[in-house]
Amino acid sequence: MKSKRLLSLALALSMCLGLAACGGGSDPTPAPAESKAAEPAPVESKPSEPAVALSPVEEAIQKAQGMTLAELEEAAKAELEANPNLTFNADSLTSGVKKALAKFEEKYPWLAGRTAYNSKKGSEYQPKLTAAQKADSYIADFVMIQDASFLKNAMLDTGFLLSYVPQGADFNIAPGDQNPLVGVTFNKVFMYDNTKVGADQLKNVWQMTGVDGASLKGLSNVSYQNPLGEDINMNFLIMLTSPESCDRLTKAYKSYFGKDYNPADDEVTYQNIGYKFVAEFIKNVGYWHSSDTSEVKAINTYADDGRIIFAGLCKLKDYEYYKDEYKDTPQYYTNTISAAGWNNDVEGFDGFVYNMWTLIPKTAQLPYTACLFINYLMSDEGFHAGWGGILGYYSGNQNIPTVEGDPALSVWKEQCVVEDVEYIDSAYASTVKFINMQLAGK
Amino acid sequence: MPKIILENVTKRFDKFVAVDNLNMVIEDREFITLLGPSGCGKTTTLRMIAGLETPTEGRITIGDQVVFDANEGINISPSKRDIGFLFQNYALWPHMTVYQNIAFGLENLKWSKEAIRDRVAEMLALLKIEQFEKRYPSELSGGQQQRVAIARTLAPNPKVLFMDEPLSNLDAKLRLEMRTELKRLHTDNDSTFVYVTHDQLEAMTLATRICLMKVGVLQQYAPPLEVYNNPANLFVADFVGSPTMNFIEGVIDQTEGEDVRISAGSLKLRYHPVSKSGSLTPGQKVVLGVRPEFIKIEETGALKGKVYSTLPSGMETIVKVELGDIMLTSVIFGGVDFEVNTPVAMNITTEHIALFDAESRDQVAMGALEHV
Amino acid sequence: MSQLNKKRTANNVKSYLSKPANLITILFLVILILTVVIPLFTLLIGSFKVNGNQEAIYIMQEGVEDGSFTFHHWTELLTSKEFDYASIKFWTPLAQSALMALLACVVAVGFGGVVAWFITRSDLPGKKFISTVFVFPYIMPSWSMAMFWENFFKNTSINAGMGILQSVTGICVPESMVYGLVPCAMSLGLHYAPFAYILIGGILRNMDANLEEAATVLKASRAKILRKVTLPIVFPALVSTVLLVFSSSISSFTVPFFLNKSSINSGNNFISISVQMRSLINTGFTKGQGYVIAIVLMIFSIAILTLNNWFTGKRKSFTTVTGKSGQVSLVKLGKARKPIAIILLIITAFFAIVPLVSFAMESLLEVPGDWSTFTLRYWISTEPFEGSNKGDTIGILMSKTMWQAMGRSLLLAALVSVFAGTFGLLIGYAVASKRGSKLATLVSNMAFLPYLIPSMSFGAVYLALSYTKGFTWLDGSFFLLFMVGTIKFMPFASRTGTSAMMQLSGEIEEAAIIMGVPWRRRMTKVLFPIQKSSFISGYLLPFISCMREMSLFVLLAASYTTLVTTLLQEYSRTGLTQASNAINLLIIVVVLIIQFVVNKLTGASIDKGVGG
Repeated sequence: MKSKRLLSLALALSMCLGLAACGGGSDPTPAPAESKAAEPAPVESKPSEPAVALSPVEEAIQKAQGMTLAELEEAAKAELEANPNLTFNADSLTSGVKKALAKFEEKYPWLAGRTAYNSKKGSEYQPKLTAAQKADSYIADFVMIQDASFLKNAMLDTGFLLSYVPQGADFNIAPGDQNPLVGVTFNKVFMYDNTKVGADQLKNVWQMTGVDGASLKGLSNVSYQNPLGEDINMNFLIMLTSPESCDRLTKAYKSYFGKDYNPADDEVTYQNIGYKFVAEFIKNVGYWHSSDTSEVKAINTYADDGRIIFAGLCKLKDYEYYKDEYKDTPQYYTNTISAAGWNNDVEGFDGFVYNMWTLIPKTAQLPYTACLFINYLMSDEGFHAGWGGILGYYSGNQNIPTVEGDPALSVWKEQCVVEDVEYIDSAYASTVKFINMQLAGK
Repeated sequence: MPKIILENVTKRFDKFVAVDNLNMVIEDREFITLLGPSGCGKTTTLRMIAGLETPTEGRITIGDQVVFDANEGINISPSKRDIGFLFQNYALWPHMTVYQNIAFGLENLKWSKEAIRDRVAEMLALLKIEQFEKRYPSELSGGQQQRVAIARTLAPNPKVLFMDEPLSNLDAKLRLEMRTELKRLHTDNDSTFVYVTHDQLEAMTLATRICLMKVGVLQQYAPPLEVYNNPANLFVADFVGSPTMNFIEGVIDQTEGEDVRISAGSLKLRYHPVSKSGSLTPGQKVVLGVRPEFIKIEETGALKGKVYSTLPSGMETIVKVELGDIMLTSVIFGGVDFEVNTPVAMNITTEHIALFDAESRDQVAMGALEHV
Repeated sequence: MSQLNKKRTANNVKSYLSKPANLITILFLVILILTVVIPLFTLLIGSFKVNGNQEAIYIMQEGVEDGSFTFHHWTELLTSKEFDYASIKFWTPLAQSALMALLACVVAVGFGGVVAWFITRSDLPGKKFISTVFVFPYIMPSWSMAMFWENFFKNTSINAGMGILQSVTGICVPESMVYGLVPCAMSLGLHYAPFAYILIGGILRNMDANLEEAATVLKASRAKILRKVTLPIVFPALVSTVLLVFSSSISSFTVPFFLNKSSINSGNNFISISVQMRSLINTGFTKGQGYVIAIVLMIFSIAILTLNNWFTGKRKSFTTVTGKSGQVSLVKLGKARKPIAIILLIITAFFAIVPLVSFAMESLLEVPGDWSTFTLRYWISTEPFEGSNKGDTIGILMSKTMWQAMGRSLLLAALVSVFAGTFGLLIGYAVASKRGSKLATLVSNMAFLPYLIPSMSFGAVYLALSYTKGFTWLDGSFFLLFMVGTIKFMPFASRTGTSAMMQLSGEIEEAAIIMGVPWRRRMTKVLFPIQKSSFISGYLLPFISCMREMSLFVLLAASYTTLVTTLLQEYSRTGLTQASNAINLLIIVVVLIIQFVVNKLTGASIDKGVGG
C-alpha cells in the first residue's frame, strides 16, 4: 500500500513538473514500475494529498528535479560541506560507473577524495540491497543495478529505490525509461570468429537449434553461459517463450524451413514455439562457458569451426586492451568478428536487450550529490566517461548517439528480445522448471 | 599433623554412584591403601581427596582445613591442599628433561634457583637417578620414569602423598623393589600416604590400614592383619588373602548355650564363638570362613578326605582336599607332594574361624570349630 | 532450608565456574549460540517463509505474501512433478553430488593416506620435499585445481582449445575426462588430499610403533598388518577426513560450475546440488528453495558428524601421550625405496607445482597459449586500466591498491588465525578435560557447524545483521570480516585443538594442577609445548583458508575493506585475467613464505601432526 502511494506520488510530482507523465500510459512497452500507474484512476486524485509523507531523500529528489544544473551543483556542494565526514558511495556492478565517478570527481574539485566506488556482482549485491531495505538502513548514495523483476518487486514496490530524472534540453529520456530511470542498456548477442565459422553463416535463429533448414545449414558449436549461474541468460531463455518472441520465432521458422510451424509435427508437445526453440537450442549448445569475458577473449583461439558465443556485445571491448599491438593484424576484432545485429543481420532476433537502472536509495545520505551524479551519468560527458567509444553500451538519454558502427538502441530493441518484467514474473515458475528439465537432458 | 577426615562423601556421575556415603579418618603419618576391584570407587575417592574430582555430597577435611564441603560450597583447589600425587602413567612432561620435570613445580612455588638446584639434586640422589638428569622421559626405561615421577612428586615436600596404582606398569621384580622403597620413603618422609591398588598383596604389605571398597561402598577400614583375620563380611574375606579363604555353607541346627551346631552337607560341626557381633539362631543359613593355613593336614585329623591336587612352591604347598562334597584348600609350610587321591586327615585348630550370615553376608562371629 | 539450598546452588555455580574448562564451555556455548545457532535458525526459518515479493509471485497462492509461513519451498523442491522438477532440481543432483563427493573422498583419502603412510612410517627418501610440496594444492583455491585440470586435459577433439597434454603428447582424452562428474571429483579429491594427508599423517606419526611391531613378531604379513592394525588405528582420522572432504566437496560451487561445460547430449553434463542451490538462492523467486538445499546439505554433514562422533566415542582410539614414552621405528622399503620415491615425487610435483607454473604462464601471456604475446605488464606495468581508481595499475606489483589489499588480507588472516586458533585450542581443552560431558561435546559439535553452513548464506546472515539498527557500524567494517572469518574458520582449529588435547592424558595436566601451577601457565608451559606442532597447525589452517577465501567476504567487504581475493575478482571481472592469475600466484607464494617462516621459527607446519 505504502509503495503504491509513493509511486503515485512520484508520478504525480513529475506531472506537476510538467513532464509527459501521462504519456506513460500510452507507451507501447511500459517500464515495469510504471505499469501500476497505468491504472488511471488514482493518478488524478493523488496530487491533492499533502506532500508531508515524503522522506527527506524524496523531498530532495523532488527539489532537485526543479533545479537548474548550477543550482543542483550548489546544493550538492552545500550538502557535502555540511557533512564533512560523509563519503559519496556509488555501488554498481559495471566498472563504467567507476570510470565516470573518477571523471565526476575531477570535474568538481570540491568532491576530491569524497567519493567511493563499490563493485558488486548482481547476486552478491541483491542480498545487500534486500538487507538494507528490510532494515531501512543506509547502503549507498547511488546504485546501479540490473534484473527487472528484482528491481520492481523488491526495490520499487517497497519504495526503497527512487528515481531522479534529469531535466533540460540535453536530456531526452523516453517516458517509459524514467521511473525507474534507465541508466545504460546492454545487449547480449551471438558472435563468432568469421574466419572459422564463415562470415555470413548466421542468418536465422533456427540455425542455432542445429537443424538444417531449407537453404541454410544448422550450426553447432554454440557457446552459452550456464543460466544456472547467470540470471541474465536465464531471463533471456524465459523471454523467448513470451508471445512477442513467439511471433518472431514463428516468422523466422517459416522463412527457415519454408513452411508454417505446426505443433502437430513435433513428437513432444510444447506449450508454444518459444518452448520448442528453448528446448532445441539447449540441446544444441555445445559448450557451456562460465565467463563471458574469458570466452570472448578466446574467441579466435578455437580451432576448426570455432564457436558461436552468446555474450555481451560490449565484451568485444576487451580487445581494446591490445588494440595498439594488434590493430593491423587479423586478430583485431573488427576484422574477424561477426556479431548478430552489429555487422550481421539474423532473422528472428539478434539477441537480448536488458537495462541497468540508476537509482537513489531512500536512505541515501547525500541525495543532491546523487542527483548531480545521475545528471552527469545521463549527460553526454558522463556517459562517455564511463562507456564512451565502446560497442554495446546505450545511454537511456536518447540524445547520446551510439558508437560508430553500432546501431541505435531503438534498432536493437526492435531486433532483439527485450527483458519484460511483467512476462518474467508471470511465467517464471513454469518456464524455469521447463528450462531446468532441458538442462538436465530430460 | 594432617589428619584427613571424610564425612558422608558421595560421588555420582549422572545416575551412576561411584562412591556412596563414605566416612573415613586417615590419621597423620598413616599409610592407607584404598583397595578393591576395578570400578569400586577407590580412584575416585583418592581424586576427591586430592581435589581432582568434586564430590557430589559430603565434607572433606585435611588437617584443620575443610577442603571440601558441599553444603558450605567450599572447594579448595588441589594446589592449596599441600599434597603430592603420583599417577599411574607417571604423567611426566615429555617436553621437559628429568631435571626440568622435577624443578618445574618448585619454580612455581617461587623457590630460589639455588634451593631448587639443591632439592632436585637431593631427590635425584634419593631415587638414584642422578645420571639421568639431562635426559628426556622418552629416553628412560619404565622403572626410571617411575623414579622420576616419584622424585617430582616428593620434591615440594608434600605432607600428604597420593598414589594411584603407581606400580601397575612395572614388571614383577621391579614392583617388589619399588614397594620396599615406598615403604622406606614413608618412614623417612614423615608424611601421610594414601595409596590406591587393586592388588591385595600390595595393600597388605604396604599399608598401616586398608580401606576396602566395593561398588562405592566402604567394606572395612582396618589394619591389614585385622582385615585378614577379622574380615567384616564375605566380600572382604574373599578379596583378601591368597589362596583365598575356604567357605563352607551350612545351617544352624540348634544352639547349645554359647555354642551352635552346624550341618554343612554331610559334615556335622560344633562352632564355639569367641567374639560375637550378631545373633545365631537355629535354622539360620551361615557360611563358615576358614583360612587355608588353619587347615592342618595331620595323621590324627578328625576330618577325613582325599587329596584332589597339590601345588608345592618350595616354601609352602597348597593342597586341595575333597571332603565329601566340599572342597577345601590348605596351605602347609614346606614342600610336600601328595599323590592325587591319597586319603588324608585334617584338623582345624584355631579360634579364627569366621562365621558369616549367608543372607546379609556380614560376619556374625569369630570362633573355633570342632567336628562332631 | 531454601536459604541453604540457594546458598548451595550459588556455591555450586561458583565452584563450577571456577574450573577453567567449565568456564570455557559456558562461554563458548553462549558465543556459539549467538554466532552459529542464530544464523542456522535464520536459514531454517527462511526455508519456511516467503522471502520477498518475488517468492510470493512464484508461489501464487491465495493469501501468500512476503513473510508469510509456507511449506511450499519444501514441497515444491522435494515433490513437485511438474516438468519432473523435484527429480531434476533436487534428487538427481543430490545423488550425483553425493557420488562425486564420495569419489573425491576416495581420491583424497587414497592419495593423501598412502603418502601419509610413506612419509610417517617408512624410510622413503626425499620425504621433506614431498611433504612440503604435497600441501600446495590445499593452499590454492579449490577452483585452481579445476582450472588446471581443464587447461591440462582439454583438447581440440572436443573443440575446447588445445590443452597442455595435447600440445605435448598429441593425446586427446575423451570429454568425460575433461568435463563432468569424474573431473570434478578428481579436482576436489586432489585439492583435499593434503587434508587427508595432514589428518591421517598426524595419527600415524604419533602411533606407537610397538603396535605394528607386535604384529610383525606374530608373523603377520605386511598387508595384514596394514589391514588389521594400521587401518583400524587410523580409522577415526579416516572418518574425520571423509567428513570434512565430503561436506566440502558436496557444497563446493566453483569446481562443478567451472567443469560443467560440455553439451547436454554428451552425457558428461553434470549439475551439482551446489550449483542448483546457488542458482536458487541467487534468484529472488526461489531463495527459500535454495535454503532447503542448504539445510539438506547440512543434515547430510551432521549425519556424518554424528557417525564420526559415534565411531570415535566407541573406540577410544586417540593415541595418547601419557607421559610414558615409547619408540618409533620406520618400515624399511628395501629395493622399492627409490622407485616409490620417484613415482611419488612425480605425482606430487605434477599436481602441486605444475598448476603454479600454469598460473605464472597465464599471467605472462597476452593471448593464452601464444608465447609470441609474452609480456610482463600484468606484473609491473604502471599504466592505469579501464575504470581504475587512484593507485590501481595493470601491473599488480605496482598497484598501491593491491598492496593495501594484500596487507589487509594478511592482517585479517593473522587476526582470524590467532583468534580462531586460540578458540579452537580452548574448546579442545574444554572437551578433553570434560571427556564425555554432554555439554562439552555439544560445544565442540556446534563449533564445527560453521564449516557446514554454505559461505554465501553464512555471509548473508551477517550482512543482514550489519544492516540492523544498532549494528550498522559493522557494515563493511574490518571487524565484521574478522568476526565472520573467526567463526567460519574456527572448525579447523577446534578440530585440531580437540584431537591434540584428546591425545594428552588428563594426568599430564593434573600433575601440574597438584603442583599449584596456575591455569595459564599450565596451558603455556605444559599443554601447548607438548602438542605444539598440532596446535600451530590449528593456527595455520584458518590462516590459509582465510587468505584464499572469497565467497564469504565478497558479500561483506566494502571498498575500504577490499581484500586481496575480492580484488582478484574485480580484476578478473574487468577482463584482466592475467592480472588475476598473477594475484592468485602471489597469494599462494605469500602463504608459502609465511608457512615456511613459521616452520623455521617453530618447527611446526601444516603438514605436521594435525592428528585425529
